[in-house]
Amino acid sequence: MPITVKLFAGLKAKHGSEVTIPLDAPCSVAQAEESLRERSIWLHGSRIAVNHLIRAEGDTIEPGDEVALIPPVSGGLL
Amino acid sequence: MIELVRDPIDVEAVRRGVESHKLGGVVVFCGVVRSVTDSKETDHLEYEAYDEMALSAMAEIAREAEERFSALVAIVHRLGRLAPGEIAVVTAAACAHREAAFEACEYLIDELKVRVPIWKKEVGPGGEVWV
Repeated sequence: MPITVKLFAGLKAKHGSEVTIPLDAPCSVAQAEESLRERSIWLHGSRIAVNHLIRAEGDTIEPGDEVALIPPVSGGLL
Repeated sequence: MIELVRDPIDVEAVRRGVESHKLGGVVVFCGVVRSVTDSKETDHLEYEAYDEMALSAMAEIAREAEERFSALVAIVHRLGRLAPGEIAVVTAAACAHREAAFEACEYLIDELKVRVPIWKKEVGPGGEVWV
C-alpha cells in the first residue's frame, strides 16, 4: 500500500494537504524522508511524525500508519 | 483545559479552568500578535496546526508541568487569521505558591513553542512567509 504523507504550512500551500509517495509500508522513516527529498518536498529541519509522534530515521512505518511531514515550528520542533 | 480554538480566547475562562481554593498563586500568560517583528511590519498572521498531534503534545506538556510543579494548568491556542493585538495563545498555571506558578507557566509556553506542531504565516507589506 503506497504511503500518504500529510503536509503543513508552506509545503501544504505548495503541494497540497497530502502527497502519496511510491513506497510500500512497511518501510523505514529514512526511506520516506529520502523519497520526499527526491521530490523536493522537504524543508531543512523537518521531521517525520508517525501516528502523531516524531520518529527517528530507523523507525518503521507500518501499513495504515498516519504519516506526516512536520516542518520546523518557530521555536524549532525537537 | 487543553484546546485549539478558532474564535477569540476568553482569558478569564482559561483562568477559571485552573481555579482551586488550595492554590494561592495563579499565573496567566498571553501571547499577543505583534505589529512589528525585527523591524518588519505585520498586517496579520495565519496560524495552522496539525490538530491531533498538537493536542496530544499540549496534553503531554500539561501533564509534565502538573507533575513537576504540582500545578493545575491550561493551554489554549487560537488558529486561523489574527490581527496585531489579538491573543494567539494563553497558558495558565495555578500552584500553592507564586514561585512555582511562574515557573510552571513559563515551562508551558517554552515547551509549547518548541514541541507543538503549530505554524504561522506572517503577512505584511513585504509579502508573506511561513515561520
